[in-house]
Amino acid sequence: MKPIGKWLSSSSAQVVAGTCAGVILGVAGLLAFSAPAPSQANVKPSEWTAAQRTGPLFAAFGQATPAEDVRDLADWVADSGDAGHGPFLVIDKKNARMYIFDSNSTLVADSTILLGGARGDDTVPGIGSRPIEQVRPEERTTPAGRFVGERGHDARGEDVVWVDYDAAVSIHRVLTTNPAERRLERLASASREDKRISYGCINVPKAFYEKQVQPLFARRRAVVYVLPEVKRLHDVFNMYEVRTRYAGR
Amino acid sequence: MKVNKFLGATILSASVVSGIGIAYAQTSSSTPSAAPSPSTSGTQYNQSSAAASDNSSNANSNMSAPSSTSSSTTSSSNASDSAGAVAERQPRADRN
Repeated sequence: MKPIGKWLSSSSAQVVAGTCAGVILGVAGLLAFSAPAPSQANVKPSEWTAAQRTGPLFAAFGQATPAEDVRDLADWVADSGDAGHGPFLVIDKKNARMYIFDSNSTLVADSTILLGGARGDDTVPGIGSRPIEQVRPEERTTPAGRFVGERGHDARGEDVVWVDYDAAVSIHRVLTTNPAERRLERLASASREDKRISYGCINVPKAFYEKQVQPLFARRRAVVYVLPEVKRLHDVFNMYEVRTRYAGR
Repeated sequence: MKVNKFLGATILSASVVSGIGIAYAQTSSSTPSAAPSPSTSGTQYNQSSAAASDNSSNANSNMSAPSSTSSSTTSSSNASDSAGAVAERQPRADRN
């Protein structure tokens, strides 16, 4: 024991002890300052899981007053993260309106739109491959559902956003090639009936397309929710009501 | 003198460890992350709803009965499909 005691009292032992203490202090300091608290982590509240959150997340509509179905669906998307925490679109066929939300589920723009001339939420199998003149009036539906929209081009060479590529349903600038259809007047009309004119595609005002829709899809896909007009909302989307889900917590 | 050696060694080693740790943290945090997605937020563009200019009559003239075709829609829920670069599909005719 004597040699050890002698060594402990030596200057080299003091250096070793000091080095060890310094390493411990350094590591402790790094850990204390580098590990973020959960609330400080670089994760948006909208990306927290339901277990991490203490309450619901709702979509923000600002001054807009959407239909109840639009609000319910957007709230569910916000709360569930169904759109992958990215921007998303909601299309209200009953009221012929499109709503665009950012990745925080905040409404950034909305517009009146034109839709398929036939009421219905389904699409005819193989309709996308059929020449348009062979599409019967009762088949001119805009299908309801959840779609992953992506940019592309149609046969006219114009850029569009494909909603359902196989069914040839897209979002594009309002078509004015057939004056008899009066599509610009229909966009400006207050009548919901006037909005039903296309063969299934979703027509939006040119400025709205170029300022809002086109940039959104320039470098990414985004989820497009087309609300039903015949079926019930819950029959089309596997969703829950945000308001009632958290009522008991 | 012994106390000075102890303190000196402590400060020196703590500094070295901290320096290495900070340098490592800066290196890892400066590695490129995913490219920011283009956001449309900022410009509040609310398309005015229907300036009541045209309530003319022929709106209902070509309305059809509801389609009773089979459904091809699916009701969600993959929460992963909004990101990533997009390769365009083949141009094709749409439904106007």
